[in-house]
Amino acid sequence: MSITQQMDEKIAEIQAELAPKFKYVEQFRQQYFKDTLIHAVLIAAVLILVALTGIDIFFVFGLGSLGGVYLTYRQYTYTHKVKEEAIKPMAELLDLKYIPSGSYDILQQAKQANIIPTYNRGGVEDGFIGKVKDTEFEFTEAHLKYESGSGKNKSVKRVFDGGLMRFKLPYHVNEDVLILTDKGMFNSLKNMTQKFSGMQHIALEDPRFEEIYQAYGTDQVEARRVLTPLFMDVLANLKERFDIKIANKSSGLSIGRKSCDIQMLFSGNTLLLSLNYKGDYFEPGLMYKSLDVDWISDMVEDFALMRFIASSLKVQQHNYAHTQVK
Amino acid sequence: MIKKMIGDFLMDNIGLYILLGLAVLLYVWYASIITKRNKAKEAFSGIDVQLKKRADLIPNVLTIAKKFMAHEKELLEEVTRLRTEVQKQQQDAHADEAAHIKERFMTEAQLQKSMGQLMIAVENYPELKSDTNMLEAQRAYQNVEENIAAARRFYNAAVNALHNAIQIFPGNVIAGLVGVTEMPFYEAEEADRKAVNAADVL
Repeated sequence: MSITQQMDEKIAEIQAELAPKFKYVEQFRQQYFKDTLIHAVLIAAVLILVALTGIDIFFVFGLGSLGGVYLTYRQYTYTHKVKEEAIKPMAELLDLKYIPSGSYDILQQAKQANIIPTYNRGGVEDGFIGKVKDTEFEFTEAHLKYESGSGKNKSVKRVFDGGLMRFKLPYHVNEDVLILTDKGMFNSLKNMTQKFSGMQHIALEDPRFEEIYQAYGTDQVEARRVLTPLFMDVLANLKERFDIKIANKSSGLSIGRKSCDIQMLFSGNTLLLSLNYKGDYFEPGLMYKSLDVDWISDMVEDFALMRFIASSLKVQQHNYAHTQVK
Repeated sequence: MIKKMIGDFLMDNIGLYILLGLAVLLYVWYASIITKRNKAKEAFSGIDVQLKKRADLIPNVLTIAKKFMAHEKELLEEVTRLRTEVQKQQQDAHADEAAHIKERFMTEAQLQKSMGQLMIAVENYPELKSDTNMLEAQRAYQNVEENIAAARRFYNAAVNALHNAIQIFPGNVIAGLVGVTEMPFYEAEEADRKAVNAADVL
């Protein structure tokens, strides 16, 4: 049985185990929404009654705002419940540790590595930590904005809504290797700018990988040690998977983007990867909407792929590690 | 008046400009072919260093293996013979010429295959398999093999670019005039990797 078939079976097992939890969360949502609806009607009725008594209109607005705060709190509680009851168990079944606040450390490292756009506002949430054999990896979701101008000219642009991954490599990379999503006709420009930083384009033999990505490095051989045929295949699968999800407007990934932008850097003992899928992947949505059954199932497959990336790093270089680790 | 003079001058010498343009174009083409050939040679040097490293490591592996593998005499002798052959070819004065490179790659591939068989045979000798020196020698050998694989991929990419440049017109004419010839690809069997188990991943 191939690794893909074995993985599919294992994923199906995990998905089946999660199904009852998901059903419970959906039942909770329905009841919670009903309660919230009743509360909203009661709040509205109170407001109307208070307004009819001829009381100051500002007092009514004040009460209305408090009602709004209450409903926001209900939404927040619902989101928290979904994360606790569905995402956390999903992470545990995949042997991952879920950290709702995410990791700022990865964001800082990604910024230094220059694999995310320039930003001056934003934060992180929904972090996951895992290990495959000796390869440790982390994921965190980041939402970044760039604010420019002031006063009337002030504009805020969303520059990154996606995942950041960090893999601790089981070997040391002596020369940095940068991989960017292929930019079609703009590649020549990118090649020139990379040349200024001392990096050259690495032409690789996998046509699928070459169509999707552009690799740069200062050492042609070192780049090929890192970008093994298996690893190139895994990276091509990652991009194709997220492009399909974006095209299908999968839950959490529908902020309007045609494809997923992926950038990564191998440096020292670390592989950093940014996955700009323009979404808020771990948000279950508003409580009046039914939970998407495919949402958690997709998440299981995504994290299985992440584990596979980590394992392919290990499998490829198991002996290299021994002599190259510094 | 001046405008007319310049116009007449340009018209009178149009043939010269076309020739000049053509010469520049041919030079750029020529320079690109030479750059690609040099890149392929540079990539070959990269493999050469690793192949020499492998040849240097083999005696160490054989010395350790001989103590335990009495039944593998033929295989050990074959590895020794191929290593001697490889070293002879490496020291040849024409070692970097296309015909010799092809011959070398063939012998290197045979050596790699025999070494692969030897490494598999080690598995049948528990004492040897757990011997610290053998483990260290195997790791060093595997490291060189991985370096060879990466260098080979770079070399083949460089050779492919060279072939494209010298097989397409007018590159083939220029290459013929300046004596740039094709270089052989290095084809070698990839060592079988241990199958990935889903249980290791999930």
